[in-house]
Amino acid sequence: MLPLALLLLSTCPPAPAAVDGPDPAADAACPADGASPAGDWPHASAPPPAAAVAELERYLFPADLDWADKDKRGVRTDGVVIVHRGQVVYERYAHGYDATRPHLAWSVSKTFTSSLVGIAVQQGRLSLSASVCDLLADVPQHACVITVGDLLSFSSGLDWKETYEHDPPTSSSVLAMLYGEGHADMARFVLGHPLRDRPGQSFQYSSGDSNVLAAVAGAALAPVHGDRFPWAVLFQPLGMQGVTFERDGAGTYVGSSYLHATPRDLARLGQLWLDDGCWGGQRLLPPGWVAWSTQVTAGMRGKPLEWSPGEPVQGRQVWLNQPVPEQGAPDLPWPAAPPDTYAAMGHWKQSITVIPSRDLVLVRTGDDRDGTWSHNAFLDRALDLVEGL
Amino acid sequence: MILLLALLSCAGKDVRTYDTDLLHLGTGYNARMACSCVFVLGRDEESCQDLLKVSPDLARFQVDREAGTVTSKALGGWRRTARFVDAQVGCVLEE
Repeated sequence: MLPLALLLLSTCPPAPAAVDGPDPAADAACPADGASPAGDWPHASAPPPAAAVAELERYLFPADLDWADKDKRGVRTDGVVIVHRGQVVYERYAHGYDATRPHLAWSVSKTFTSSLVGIAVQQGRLSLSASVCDLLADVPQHACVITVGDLLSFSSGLDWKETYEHDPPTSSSVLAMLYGEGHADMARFVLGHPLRDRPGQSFQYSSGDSNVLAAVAGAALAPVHGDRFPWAVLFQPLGMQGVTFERDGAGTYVGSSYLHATPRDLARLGQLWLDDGCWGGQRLLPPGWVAWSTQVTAGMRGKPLEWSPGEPVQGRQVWLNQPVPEQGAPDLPWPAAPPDTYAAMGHWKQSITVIPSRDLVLVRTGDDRDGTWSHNAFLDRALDLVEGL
Repeated sequence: MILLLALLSCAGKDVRTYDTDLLHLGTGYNARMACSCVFVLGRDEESCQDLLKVSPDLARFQVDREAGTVTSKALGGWRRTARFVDAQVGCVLEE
C-alpha cells in the first residue's frame, strides 16, 4: 500500500510557485528623511543656475512655438514642476495653465490606480493572488484564472489592442472601452475579451487591465471607505487639493485615463513613491511595493506584445529605464538618466518621473501630438539643472 | 478535454469585433472630453475645442451650463451626451 501511495504522490502536479509579490523581508520602516509637505510644496531658497534653466526652457518652451498651429506641431509644454530633495527648484506654466489649474493626466492615472491597489493590500483587504472572480460579480468563467498580480503586470493574457487616434479606430479596444460599447461598465467589457495567452506569460500594455484593477480596488476599499475611497485613502492623505477622478457608467473609476490634477499635486504621488510608499512617516503602500513595481516583469522579458526595443520598459503600472536583453534591448531607454529612473506616462506626453538616486521628482504636462517630444532630452536638461544644487 | 478547450481558447480563435462606427466613437469622445474640459478644467469652449481636437475632426459640441451637460453631434444624426456629476468625479458619458 505504501509504495502505491508514494507513486500517487510522485505523480501529483508540483506545488504552485510562490505568488509573485513584494519581498516579504522588505524593510517596513519609513525613510527617516522623507519629504511630505503638510501644506503646499516649499520652494528652494537658492535658484538653479541660469544657464541650465535657459537650456531646459529652450527645450520645454521653444520661443518660436505657434500655439495656434492647427497641426499642433512641436514640443507643447503646459506645465513643469521639478522637486529636488523635497523642494520645488523649478516651475513654469504656459497655454493658460497655472499652479492652481488641473490637467488631464491620461495614463499617468494608472500609477495612481496601482497605488490604490497597494493601499488595499497594505490594509489587508486585498491579496495579489486573488482571482478577479473572488472580487467582482458576473465575471465570465474563462477570466477567473486572472489574478490581481497579473493585472498589475499587464499580464492578464486578454486579447487586447491598445491603439489610439492614429490607428484605425475600428480595431481599438481602448476606444471601444472609453467611448464605444464598453463605456457603461468598462471592467465587464474588458473581462469579456477572450484569453490570448495564459495569465502571467505575456506583456500587453492595456488600459483594460488598469480599469479592472480600478474595479478591484473599489471592491476592496469602497465597503470600508465609501465610494469616494480614492480621496479617503490616497488624495487626502497626500494633501492633493483639487483632484478629479472620473468614473464609468457603473461607478468604477476610470483608472486607466481620467485623473485630473495640478502638476504640484501630481508631484506628490512621485514623492510618495520616492519615499518608498510613505507619507508623513506613515506607510501607505506595502513594504517592498515600490521595489517590486519597478522590476521588469516575466511577461515583459518573455513575450512583450505591441512593444519594441528602445521603448520604455514596463514594470507594474509604471515605466522603467531598464534594459531587457532577452528582447534585444540591451540599452537604457533614457540613456541620459540613471537606471533607477521610473515614470508614470500619459497620452500627449504627460509624466511624473522619479529618480531616487538624485532625490528628484519631475512632473511635465503637455499637449504634444507629433512625436517631437523626447523624454530623454527633457531628463538630460533637468538633470543638468539640479546637478550643481 | 478541458485542457484542449483551454488551449483552443488561448490560441486566439475568437476574433473580437467592436461596435465601431467612427461617428459613434467620435461623438462619444467629443462629448466626454468637452464636458470634462468645461466643467472640470474650467476652460472656455474655444480652448476646449482646440484641446480635444483629433483628426478626423467630425463632431461639434454644445454646452448646457444649467443642465451640466455637453452634447456632441455629427452629420447623419449621431448624438451623444455627457453629464457633469460633481467636482470630484467629473463627467460621465450618458448613453
